Amino acid sequence: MILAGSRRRVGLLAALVVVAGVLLTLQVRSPEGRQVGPVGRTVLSVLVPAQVALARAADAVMRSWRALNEIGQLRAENARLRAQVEALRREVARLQEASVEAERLRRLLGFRAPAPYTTLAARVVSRDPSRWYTTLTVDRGSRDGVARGDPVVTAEGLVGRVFEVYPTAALVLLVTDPRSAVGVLVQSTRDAGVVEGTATERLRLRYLSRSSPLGEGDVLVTSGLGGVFPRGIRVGVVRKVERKVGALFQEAEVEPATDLSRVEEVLVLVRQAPPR
Amino acid sequence: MALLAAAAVVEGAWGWRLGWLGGAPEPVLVVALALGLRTEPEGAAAVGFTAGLLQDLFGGGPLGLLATAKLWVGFAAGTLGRTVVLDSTWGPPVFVAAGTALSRALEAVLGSITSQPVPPLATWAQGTLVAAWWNALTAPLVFAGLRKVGNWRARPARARQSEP
Repeated sequence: MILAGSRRRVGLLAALVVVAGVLLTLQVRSPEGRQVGPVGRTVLSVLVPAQVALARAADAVMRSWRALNEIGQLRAENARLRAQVEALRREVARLQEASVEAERLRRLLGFRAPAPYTTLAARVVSRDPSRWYTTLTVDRGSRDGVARGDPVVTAEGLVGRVFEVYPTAALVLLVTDPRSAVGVLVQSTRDAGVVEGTATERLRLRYLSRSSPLGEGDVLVTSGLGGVFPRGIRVGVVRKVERKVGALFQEAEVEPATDLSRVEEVLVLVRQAPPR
Repeated sequence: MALLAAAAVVEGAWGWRLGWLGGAPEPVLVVALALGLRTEPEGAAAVGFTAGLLQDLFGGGPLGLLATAKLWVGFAAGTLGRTVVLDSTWGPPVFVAAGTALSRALEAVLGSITSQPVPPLATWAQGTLVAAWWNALTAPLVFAGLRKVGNWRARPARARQSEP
């Protein structure tokens, strides 16, 4: 009985080996190296649709996976591009700054210092934030020949005068500071007056003869009287004229020639030592 | 047979997507090994033959190549079935990895004999390692699943035996 079972099993194994061997031989000897036959086709026709369905499901999963991956990649790329845009923006801003600065410097170079002054270009390094329109610090000091009282100008006009001098910097008192008073002439009429600071963006023209035909838009220039500022530097433009009844003088609101809130480079007019 | 067919369908649809360095998971082989361990060597050989034939059908090579290789792998599984400790954690993965290596080796030998394209040794070894790794990874799941199926099928018989 056991022997019969064993023989059957061996017979089964032998049959499998023979079938496999014959099948493989026939297949290999066939012209195309493979012949599925009707049975194989039937099996495949049953199983392949299931495989197609599974493959589609796998495709859907892969697509979702890829989409998820792409989201991550897109995020990374987005961050990279944002950083690039930010860097380019900074670069553009820097170049714009350089361009504007070059323009300003070009105009400054066009400024001719009146005798006996020489010009010394200086950069604004700080401002008093609590007193926006009154003082600023420039990066030139006594080592550069800057002295107290030296006029400070831009190509547009008067900025102020050196108030304090340090070895490598100087504090400039702006014309808008209430402590500032500048002798001026109305450019068109040559009438004299004094422009004082008001601690605001505007200046105040005082002591101008009531008879002077002052009008809006008139340009005020330094008179050169008093010896602090050289003659002929633009101080501002009259914006509003006030003639009070009974007053000896007329007054006016003046817009500074230089936009003091935005000034970044200035020229210090350094007084030349008289020849011995 | 149904399990092998399902495994062949899954292998054809999904297996290649997980392919890497010339190797891919072979659920058909894992199922065949798991089934072969529970039967006599000749029965296991028949399981292996069927599994290989299904792979031949879904593949593009000559019918009988993988069937012959898997026949002997199944036979080996059936022979070793009594000695392998299936309840251990590492038993099924190690056994399946070894079965994968044997299967790939037989495929290469048979391929050479029948003038089928056989990859260079390095590529073959690489693919074998990857396939063995994949199959070993899935072995515990497949073995546990088949054990549950076996227990479920054996329930009516046990119930009949317990009746007075």
